[in-house]
Amino acid sequence: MNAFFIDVLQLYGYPALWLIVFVAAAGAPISGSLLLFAAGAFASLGDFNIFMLFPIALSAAVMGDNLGYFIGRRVGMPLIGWLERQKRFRFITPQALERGRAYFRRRAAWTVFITRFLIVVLGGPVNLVAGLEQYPYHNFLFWDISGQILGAIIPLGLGFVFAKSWEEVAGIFGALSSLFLALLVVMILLAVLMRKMRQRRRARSASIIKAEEKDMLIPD
Amino acid sequence: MDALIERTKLSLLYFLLLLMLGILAFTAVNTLEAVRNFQQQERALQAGDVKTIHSWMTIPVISHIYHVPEDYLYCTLHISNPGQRSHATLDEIAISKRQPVDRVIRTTQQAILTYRKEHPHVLTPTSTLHREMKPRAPMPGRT
Repeated sequence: MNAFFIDVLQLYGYPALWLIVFVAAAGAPISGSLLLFAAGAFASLGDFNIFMLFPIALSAAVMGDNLGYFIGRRVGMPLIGWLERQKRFRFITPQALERGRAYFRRRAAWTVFITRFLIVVLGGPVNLVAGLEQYPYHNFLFWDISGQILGAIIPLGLGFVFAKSWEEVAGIFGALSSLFLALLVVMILLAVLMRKMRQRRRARSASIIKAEEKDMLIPD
Repeated sequence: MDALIERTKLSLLYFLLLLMLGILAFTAVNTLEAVRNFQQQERALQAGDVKTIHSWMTIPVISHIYHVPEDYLYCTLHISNPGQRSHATLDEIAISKRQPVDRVIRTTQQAILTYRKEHPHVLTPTSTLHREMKPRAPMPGRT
């Protein structure tokens, strides 16, 4: 799959790069950043101009993200309404759904920013969720562009610097991205677990106090 | 009943945490492995090892990295129209020749080794290769 996109990149140049990065940013299961590593490497080896690659990659990624955002905005709410009505999806309770949405609303800026360059794999779903949540468009655009600047500079720059071994560098970057994602999930799980433990401890001490009060009220 | 549900939820959380810790360890090992791969690749490239040839490389790129004239490689791979094929990767060459890419890579590796044997003192790229180091003007089909 990647070999095919690299062939297309070599054969059709900048327009192909724009189109592939756009489709990847819109949520298609294509590795846009891998292609940027390749493009950076090819620029270093004389096939592209690195200064042209940056605006092309940035504009394609931002446009793709915007498409995802507007799809989420347009079809997201009816979809959520339908999900809530379906009995088959009762394992996702409306309360759980609402908790998830509130959680996203609190951390939307950070989430949009970080999924542009570090946890790229979640970029597409985050765009959809941001649209669905009616996250203010100007905020989305600001964090999207900020993140995508890094999202373009990092792979293009690393590809350019390590042109001859860009595949290996992209491998390190991908592995680091997975490592960060796993670390993030572990931290979230730890936080949830600690909160649950605290609640449990509080509930237990409250029930002990209640029992003691009851004992004191009962005459001997 | 509530206590039971609560305990089940906690157990599930512990299980998820353990699972994620396992995945975390796996990704950490993967990262180290990726770094090691990169170091090995860099060392091999510095030594001019032909095993570092990849399917994404084009003939001008191979020519530049391994200091072998483009024409020599085109000739070895029986490519008759080099001008039009300068952007073709080895993968694409393999597709057009209906050959497995590994075979094309092996042929290229063999060609480089033969060239080195025939020209033991040639260490720098030929003059045609320097042209490739500058960003090229847009090619047909490339805007």
